Amino acid sequence: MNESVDPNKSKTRWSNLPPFVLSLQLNTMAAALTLLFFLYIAYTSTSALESASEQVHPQRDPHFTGCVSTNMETFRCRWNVGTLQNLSKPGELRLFYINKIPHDPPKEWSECPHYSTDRANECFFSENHTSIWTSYRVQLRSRDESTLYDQVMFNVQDIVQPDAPVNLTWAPLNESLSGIYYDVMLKWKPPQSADVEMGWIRLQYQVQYRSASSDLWQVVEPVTSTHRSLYGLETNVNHEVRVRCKMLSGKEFGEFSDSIFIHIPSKVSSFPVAALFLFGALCLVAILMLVIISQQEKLMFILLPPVPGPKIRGIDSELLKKGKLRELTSILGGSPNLRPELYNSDPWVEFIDLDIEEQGDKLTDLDTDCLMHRSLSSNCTPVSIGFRDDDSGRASCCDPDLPSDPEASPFHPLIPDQTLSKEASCQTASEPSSPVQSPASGELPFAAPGREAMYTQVSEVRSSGKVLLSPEEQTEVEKTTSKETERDVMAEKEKEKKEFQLVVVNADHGGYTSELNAGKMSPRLSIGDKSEPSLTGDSSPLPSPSPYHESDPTPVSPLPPAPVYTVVEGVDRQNSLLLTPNSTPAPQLIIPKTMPTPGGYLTPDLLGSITP
Amino acid sequence: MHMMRAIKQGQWAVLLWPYLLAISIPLDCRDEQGGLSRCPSISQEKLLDRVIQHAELIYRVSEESCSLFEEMFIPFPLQLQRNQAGYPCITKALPIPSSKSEIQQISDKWLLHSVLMLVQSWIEPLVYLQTTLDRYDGVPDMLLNKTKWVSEKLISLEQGVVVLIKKMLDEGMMTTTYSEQSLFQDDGQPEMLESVMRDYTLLSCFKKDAHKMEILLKLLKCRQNDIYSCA
Repeated sequence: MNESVDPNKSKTRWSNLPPFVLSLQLNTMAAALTLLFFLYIAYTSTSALESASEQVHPQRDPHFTGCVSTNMETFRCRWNVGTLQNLSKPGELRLFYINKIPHDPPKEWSECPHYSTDRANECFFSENHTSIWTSYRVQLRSRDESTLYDQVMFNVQDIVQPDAPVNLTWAPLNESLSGIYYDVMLKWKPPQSADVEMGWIRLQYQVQYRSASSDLWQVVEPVTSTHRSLYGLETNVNHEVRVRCKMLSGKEFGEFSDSIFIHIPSKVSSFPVAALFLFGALCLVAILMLVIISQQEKLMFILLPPVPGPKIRGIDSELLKKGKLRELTSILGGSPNLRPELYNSDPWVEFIDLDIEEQGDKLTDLDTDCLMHRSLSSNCTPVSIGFRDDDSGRASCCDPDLPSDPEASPFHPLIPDQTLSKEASCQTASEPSSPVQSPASGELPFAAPGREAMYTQVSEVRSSGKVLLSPEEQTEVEKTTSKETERDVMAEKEKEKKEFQLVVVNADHGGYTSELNAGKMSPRLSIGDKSEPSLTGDSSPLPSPSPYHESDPTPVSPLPPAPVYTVVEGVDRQNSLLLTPNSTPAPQLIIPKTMPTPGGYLTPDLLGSITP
Repeated sequence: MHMMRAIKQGQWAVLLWPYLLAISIPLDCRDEQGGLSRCPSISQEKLLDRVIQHAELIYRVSEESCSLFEEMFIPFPLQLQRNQAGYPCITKALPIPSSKSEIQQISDKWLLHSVLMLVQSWIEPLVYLQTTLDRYDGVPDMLLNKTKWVSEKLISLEQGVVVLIKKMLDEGMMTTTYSEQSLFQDDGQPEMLESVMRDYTLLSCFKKDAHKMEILLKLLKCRQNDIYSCA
């Protein structure tokens, strides 16, 4: 029962195996089979190859290896017995030849005249058996002449291969300056066997050489002479030289001669030239460096010449350097706090022509006094001081650094050629009047010491009540354009319908009108008095220093051309002009400090007079 | 008829030989006999050197021509069969010894005459060769140029040898008595292979004879002064 069950069980066992195991087993079997198959094939193939190679190994018959003549008088033929061992014995192979000599009767085949004794498998044909320019036919036969192994045909002159040249020697020729290269002369002798003297053979020689380290032979062009020079051989290198020759009209070269070795040691120079050169170069470099360093400044001066700095005579050049504008402007009479935008773009040339002798002799004082005190105007001819109606109307300098105290800083255009006398007269006149100054101004502190009151021209009166003082362009414009500017100014002002603090007049004239004109215009003016400079130099009293403030919006709207100048009472803290009030309290004029920037437009001599 | 032609050539040569010499052999006018404006003579040594040069050149060119022809037209198996019985060299009948010992014993006179014989016997065949070569297809120009050059130089060589004979042997011009046993019967149009083989034989024979001429002349040169001084 078990048995009956067993097979079933076994079957089930088989079937119970998981499928992947089955496949795996199959795969391995297949791989093994293929491997075995390949091995078998390889083995058989190798065995076959071996056997085949053994069989392919040629069983060569005896054959000629060459027939050579070294001197065109004799020749020898050599052969190889081949693979058949039984033929290596001497006598087994026989050589027969036949030579067709032109007019001799045809010959029979004759055997080798002399089988060489010193060498096996060679037949030597002596002179008696050698004829040139005839055709030879040589055969290699078996002993019984039954088998023909090989045959060659030739003419003797075609198989000439001379022996090697003998007695190869060398001698040094030249040496290069550096001692690295040298030339040699090679000499040799023709081979003994070749009859060169008789002219039977003419030989051509070929030299080959190489350095001991390389494998490549250098070949030299063939020569017919028995000497040759070699150029450019290196010292301290072993050179190998050999030579061979061939018949001049032949094809093949003969054997090489024995090599000779050439060696020339290089000279050890006691004077190291290279080191000397290096040393010299270094010294030169050092000297150059020293020179450069010691003469650095001079070199720099030569190579990069200095740019001349700004220079104005009379002014310390230090002040002209960058960043010291304040000092400079203070020197030149301008206020550092001035609004630069008003001046910078205006090219104006100003000549400050102040003929001041005394330190304290400030023109502004005089002028202010003169301006302020009309009563004293009789003595003081401020006009004479500075109000000459000169066509060369030069602008005034502004009054720099006005202290915050209200001060009356009259702005008058400076007039050139102001005579001192006038000033003096004014001064004297003004002094007593100074205490009578208006209370507003007090002492009329003027510009800070060192500053001079400058005169300027009112260029514009704004609606806001500001009076714009023009930067002086009078000097150039004076003659013609000053009038134009005045006109423009007038026109501008005429447009304004608002309150005017100042009414300027006299559009026809420049800023400087004559007194006469002023006088004419004054009745029409809302501004009563003006201090007008008289350019003509008339000394006329100033009009009453009462700036006429026109508060009416409809003022003298036909704004009669009013003189530009007005009497300024003072300048308040805000740097606004305080004009002498007439009717209405005049709003403060804010007169910007239109201090002229001195710029570079001062002539040095004028400047000298300005600087305190 | 050939003899007549040869005689005519010889007569012309006799009449014109100085002129021909002057043209063909550029002279080195060295006055041996003193100030002649035009030097009609050349020293014997120089003449001999010049003749030898000619012979060397002719041999070299003929060798090149032969190899060219061999490469172009001769199938390899037949290359070894030149100088076979089929087409012997035309100059085989010339009595020129072919071993060194024999040649050494030849006198100068005989040497010169042998050379002259050789040269003269090859002039016409070379001309013939040119015509036959033109017939072949694909003949390289170099081959044609070489053969042409050789035939020209051969003529000048002949002239030189004649002068040399006159100088060295003090003989007058000999008319060529050597019959030119030419194989060139001009059998119409032989078949290609035959023609090729014949020409091949011709070229190789000429090469051999050129070499012979060169050797003979060199022997002659080195034999001067009864001392062999050609080391």
